[in-house]
This record gives sequence, structure tokens and C-alpha cells, in this order.
Amino acid sequence: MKHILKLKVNGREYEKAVSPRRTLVEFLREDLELTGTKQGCGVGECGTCTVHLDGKPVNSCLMLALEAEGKEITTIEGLQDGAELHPVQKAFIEKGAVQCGFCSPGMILSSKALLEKNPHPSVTEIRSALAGNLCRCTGYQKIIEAVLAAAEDGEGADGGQRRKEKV
Amino acid sequence: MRIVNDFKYERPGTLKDALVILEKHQGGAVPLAGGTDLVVNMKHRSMLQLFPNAGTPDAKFEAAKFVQPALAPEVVVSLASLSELEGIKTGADFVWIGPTTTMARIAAADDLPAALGALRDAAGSMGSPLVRNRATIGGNLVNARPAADGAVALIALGGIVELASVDGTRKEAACDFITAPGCTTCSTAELITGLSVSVGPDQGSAYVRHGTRRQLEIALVGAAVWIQLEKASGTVKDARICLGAVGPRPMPADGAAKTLLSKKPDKEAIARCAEAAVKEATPIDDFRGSAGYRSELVDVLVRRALEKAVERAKGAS
Repeated sequence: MKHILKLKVNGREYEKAVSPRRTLVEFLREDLELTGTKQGCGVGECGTCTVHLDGKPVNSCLMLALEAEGKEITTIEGLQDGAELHPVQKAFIEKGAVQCGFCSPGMILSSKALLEKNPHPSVTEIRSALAGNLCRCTGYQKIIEAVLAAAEDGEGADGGQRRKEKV
Repeated sequence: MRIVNDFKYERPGTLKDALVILEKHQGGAVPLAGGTDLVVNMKHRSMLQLFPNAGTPDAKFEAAKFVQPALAPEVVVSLASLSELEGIKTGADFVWIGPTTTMARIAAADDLPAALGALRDAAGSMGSPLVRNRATIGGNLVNARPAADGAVALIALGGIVELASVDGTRKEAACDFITAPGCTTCSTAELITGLSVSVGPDQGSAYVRHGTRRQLEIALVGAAVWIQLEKASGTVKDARICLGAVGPRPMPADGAAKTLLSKKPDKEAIARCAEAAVKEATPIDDFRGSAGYRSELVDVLVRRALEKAVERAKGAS
């Protein structure tokens, strides 16, 4: 039996009838047609399905959609401001941190969550925060450079203050 | 990978309603907290699971005899609306942790006393940051895996598991709660309603684990040590040790803990304790590591956890 699910996705309210066996990633991709969120392994190991649940990054493949009742979800589609990309998205493009792009939505959302909590992360802190997101193309180096660059941009005038660490 | 079997979704607003649902469906209903284990187990991961009698010797297709069928509960009871099961309360001589408190929240709780250091270490080392934002301490315990970081720490802390059913409530020591891999004394009609740890002065604890990767890895071996010092003499008043992934369930190493009593926790005493822990451990060879390697790790990890626990106990007022 379907249940009515009320939630907010990227600032917009939705009310939909959802089957209990629908996972959150299936709901986002198939019912809301927000296909920016990817489904990879389906068991919480690869992180391509990362979305923000009330501001915290989670695996949307491990959540029943109905568990998101009353919650606020942010997907990769919700980051840009009009035509303007989010600073983390820009940094990923500028640093060449995208190859096939399958991991990028998750990588960017995990990076954004880290920078909101810790605007000046060290390389170790970035690696630790991205540990749940796997990339099979870039070898992570450029992704970490992109997060460092986004951190630098985000802090504006004192950008030079970021911890000098070997990337 | 999808959940193929239909089930009923219930989201009770009170603990009493949740217990009534569990009682009514006797075994057909499963509680859902973070879902990081349950949802995975409910998904179909292989075509082989769809063969009739999959997972039994009667399966028609040879390979289908050896697959675990997907979990197919009749009812999933969401605990999401039961706010009384979530949170951390600190009293003068105890800490209470709600079973649906996430690993991320426990790992970040820097106001917890040093006595609970092991639980914070364990909560911060389990899974990935994404998993820790959903996975709960109650789920870690009730899933009862031999390597469960949170369970190993909780046993070393001498934690008490509080359970409820429609018939009433009961308490059980964490060390008696897990009986075999995946098995606990929690019946299908019961829910964990709280985890409590008593704390006192000059106590400290630590959990150290080793895996081939730093995150998103099941511990090859984990070791949790809890210690209470005699302030005046600097000797060990009380100690508890629990080891993960070296037995069919998280394994208390009482003999090793006993070697520390009334001794100063110096290098020699720590080495002797680790040696005793190696003798108590019963590791097996599997695809993640050999028994010999695991024994070696018990020695190293017990020493490291013990050193850290002593340091924390000394820092505690």
C-alpha cells in the first residue's frame, strides 16, 4: 500500500504517493526525475547516491523514501543559484576533478557538507570526509585540490591562511 | 538493486504503539532505525536469490543453494517518530544513550566523560561519514556482528541494555546480550529502549581497530579497554577488555583484564596483559586475514588501547 510522503527537495515542497519499498534515490530519480543523484552499488559503499538530509550527507540508497517524511533534502540540482554554479562545483570544473562524472554529485555534496562545518580543512580532513565516496577515474588528487581551492575561494580575503600542506 | 518484496510500513508515534505492532506480528515485523544494515539485507543483490528455495539445498540451480535470500519482513516498523529513543543524557554517575542515536552524533559528543572514550572512538571508526550519519548504536548492537565496533566498546564499558516489550521492561548486561553471530537475547517482540553506562572518577577507555583501509572497512581486529585507576597509588583498580573479530561474538578478555589489577600500568604490565589477551582470543582464517595475523594484531591493539585508556584516565578528574 502506498503512503503519502511530504518533504522538501531543493527548497520545493512535494507531496507524492510512494510505495514503502521505494528507496530515497529511486524516489528522487524516478518520481521527481532528479537524475543528478546516481545509484551505484546500492549498498552504501560507493557514495554516488549522496544527498543532504537536513544538511547532513547520507547514502540515499540506504533510506526508504518514506523515512524522509518532513525532512529537507538537497541534491546536486539544488546547489546552483540560478545560472551561477556553487563555488565547489566551479572548483571541480576548474581543477579538472571531473572525468566520467558519475561520482561528482556525491563528491561535491560531501565536500560542501565538510566546508560548511569546517571552512579550512586540511588534506587529511578532506580525505576523511570523502572516505564514503569512491572515484574510479581521477585518483582523488584533483578532487582534493578542488576542495582546497573551493575552501580558499570561500574564505575570501584570508584565503592565503589555509593550512600549507602537501597535497 | 531494489527491494522486490512488498511489505507494510508502520510509523508508530509512541513506544507503546511500536511494541503492540511488534507483539502482534510475532517475528514478521522488524524495527527500522538507520537502515544501513536492514535496507541492504532487504535488497535483492543477485538473480540467484530469485530461484525457488534459494539458500537451501532444495534450490534447483546449484549456485542458488549458497546465496542468502533477501530479507522479506511482512512489516517494517519505523522508529523515526520515537524521539524518546534518541539522544544522550549525562548524569553525575551515569551516561544514557538512546538506541537510535547516530554514530556521527556519538563520535562528535566531546562533552562525554573520558570513561566513554572507547565508544566515541568506535562510533567514529565505523563505516564511512555517510553511513555514520544514519547508522545507530542500537542497530550496531542488535545486528550482533563479531566485529561490531560499537558493541565491542559498549561491552568493555560494562554497558547495560534496556529492553521493553508489551509485557514490561528488563535490563541485560551488554556482555550477555550478544549470544552468537547475528543473535541476541532481544526477542522479536522487544525493542532496545536505552543503553546506560555508569561512570566514576579516574576512569578512561579507548577503542583501537585495524583494517586494510582506514574507513569503509570491517575491522580485522578491534580492541576496547576500560580502566579505573587508584588515584593515590596510580595502580589499576578495575579493568575490562573486549575484543572484536577474534571470536563468534565480541569477546570479553577477562583473564587479560585481571592481570592488570593492583598493578601500575607500566610497559611491563601492559605487555603482559596484551600477551594474555592473545591467549584468550580465538581468531579464525578468513578472506580478510589469517588467524596468525589477527593474533599479532590483538597484541598490538590491546597495548595501544590500554596506553590510550590510561592516558585518558589520568586526564580525567
